[in-house]
Amino acid sequence: MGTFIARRLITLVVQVLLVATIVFLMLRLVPGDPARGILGETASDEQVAAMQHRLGIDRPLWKQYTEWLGNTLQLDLGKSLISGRSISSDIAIRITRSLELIVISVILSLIVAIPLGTIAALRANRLADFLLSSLAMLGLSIPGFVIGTIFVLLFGLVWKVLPQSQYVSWTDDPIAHMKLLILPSLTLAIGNAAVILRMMRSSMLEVLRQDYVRTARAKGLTETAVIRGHTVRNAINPVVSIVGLECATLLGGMVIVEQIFNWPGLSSLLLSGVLSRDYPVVQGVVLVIAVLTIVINVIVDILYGVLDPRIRLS
Amino acid sequence: MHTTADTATDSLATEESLAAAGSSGTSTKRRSHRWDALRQPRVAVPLVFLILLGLVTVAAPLIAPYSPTKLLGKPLIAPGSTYLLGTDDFGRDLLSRLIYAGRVSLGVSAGAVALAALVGVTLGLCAGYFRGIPEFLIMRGMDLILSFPTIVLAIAMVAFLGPSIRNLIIIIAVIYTPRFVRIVYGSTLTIGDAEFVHAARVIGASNPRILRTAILPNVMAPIFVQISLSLGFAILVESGLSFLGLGAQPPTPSWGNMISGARPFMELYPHLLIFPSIVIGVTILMLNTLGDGLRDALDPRLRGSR
Repeated sequence: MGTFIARRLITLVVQVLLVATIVFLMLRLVPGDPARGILGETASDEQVAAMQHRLGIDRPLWKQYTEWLGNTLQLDLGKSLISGRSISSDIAIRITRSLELIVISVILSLIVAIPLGTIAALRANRLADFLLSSLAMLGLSIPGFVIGTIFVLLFGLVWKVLPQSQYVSWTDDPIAHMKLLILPSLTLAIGNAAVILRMMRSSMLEVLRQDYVRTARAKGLTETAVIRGHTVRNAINPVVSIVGLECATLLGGMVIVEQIFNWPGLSSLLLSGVLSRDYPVVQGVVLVIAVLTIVINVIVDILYGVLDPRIRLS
Repeated sequence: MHTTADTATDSLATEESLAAAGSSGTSTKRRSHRWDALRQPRVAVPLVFLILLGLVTVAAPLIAPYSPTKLLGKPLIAPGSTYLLGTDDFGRDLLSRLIYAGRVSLGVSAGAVALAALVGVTLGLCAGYFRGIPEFLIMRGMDLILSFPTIVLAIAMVAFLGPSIRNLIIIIAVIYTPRFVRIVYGSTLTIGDAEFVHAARVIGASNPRILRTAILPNVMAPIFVQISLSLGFAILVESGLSFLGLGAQPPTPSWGNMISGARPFMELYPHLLIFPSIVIGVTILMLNTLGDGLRDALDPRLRGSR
């Protein structure tokens, strides 16, 4: 188990370094001079030169790169071009708010999707399965921004049951904070639950075909004991790995959900950075989100190894 | 999922080896097999819908009752006989805008997926067939793209490249290339070791010829499935970006920016929100159903995986 974890951690470091390199190079995608792009056509040459200096692009590429990488490893992502604030501390404030949303929506979707997926598999090709599978397909197909917008319309504007107000932090008013969390995490959870339901269903069907399930039934165990003791535990492994993959989707879906519900997480920082051409902010947030994705996947891999000894030995 | 790629094609392989032993690689047996899929309602219904949608989009100037950008007079008219789906906040005909928006949303998605499939299939074939250094570079490169969440990578690229239709196509293609590479790579690994590939090599066929005539036909089935599913995701990304204001720029209509444009008015004029939502939802639903149906029809053992 130790070598398995060590191996995963080494790949983690390599991946993070490569991703950091890509994010560094992204600034080179800007057509023409990024400094002039930020300042506009009317800027004087001196202003452009000053901006080039602030962006660091007036130095040789390798020097910029080593400096950027060095700073990044010390968790210093530079300063915002617009507000002048430290990007790392802005991210630190917002990252917990985003993670809060993601953790809650993962829990929500697991609670809903695992039992429903199991039911669909046990009732395979019957009415319940058809209904659940169709529901999952619908959940997969309706974009998050459509679901979120319709939620705002129905709950916030038509029925007026949920607050449409400004963000309230957990420490100020826990109840109001929880109320604010409901719609965004529900919106995020729907697509995720659909994917997990489908995975659970097919994984259950696969396990139900196994010999040991037939043996368990043959030795006279009740159906409940068979399901609980022999199948769900085995069927859940692929679900764990899909939850890891889905976290990446959630980190992406979060951008849109935060925008719709005015949730001041990482994405609002990212979007304001994009709209104001605050390139260092964009680079910082993208890097942090990518590293989060990688870390979550390594955690899932390790968890997978813990749950299923066959994986860590291969 | 890599399991998709691993198990995708070996059942077709034996059949295909017979076909490859013939001349053109399109035996009547495989033909009939392929057309069978079209008879299933889960394939036929979405296919007919998508073809009709495609036709409407292509023929937009003939079908749309008004210009998508012309201000026709009174804004925010409810659906009725003059303006079938009503007008928007600028007094533009909603139906015409929906039809023209399809051009942007579907055009960008189709272009991006076509590009992704072309590049992805080529890279996947090379990685799986030549192995060694090309395999390492291609597959690790794809892993790198996959370490970014889709929408976040798209937003970052729009931030640096700037929003334009051409850039959208390139960006979405970059995002979806790895899916094609992985699937084709997995299948190519399996097929590359088959006897008929060795046989082709022994009789002196060149590498491009082997790739084209012996391997490619065998990896087609999962590619079709992937194209269908990717189109749905591409529409999701395009409309998501447009919703955020980073895709098609107003006044050019796209399904995503029509929905974000409807938000300020949706309480009093819900039709502005509802019609584009239905169109996006149904289109993606049809593409996903088609993808599922094709997968089940082409290889029953993949049922339920994704």
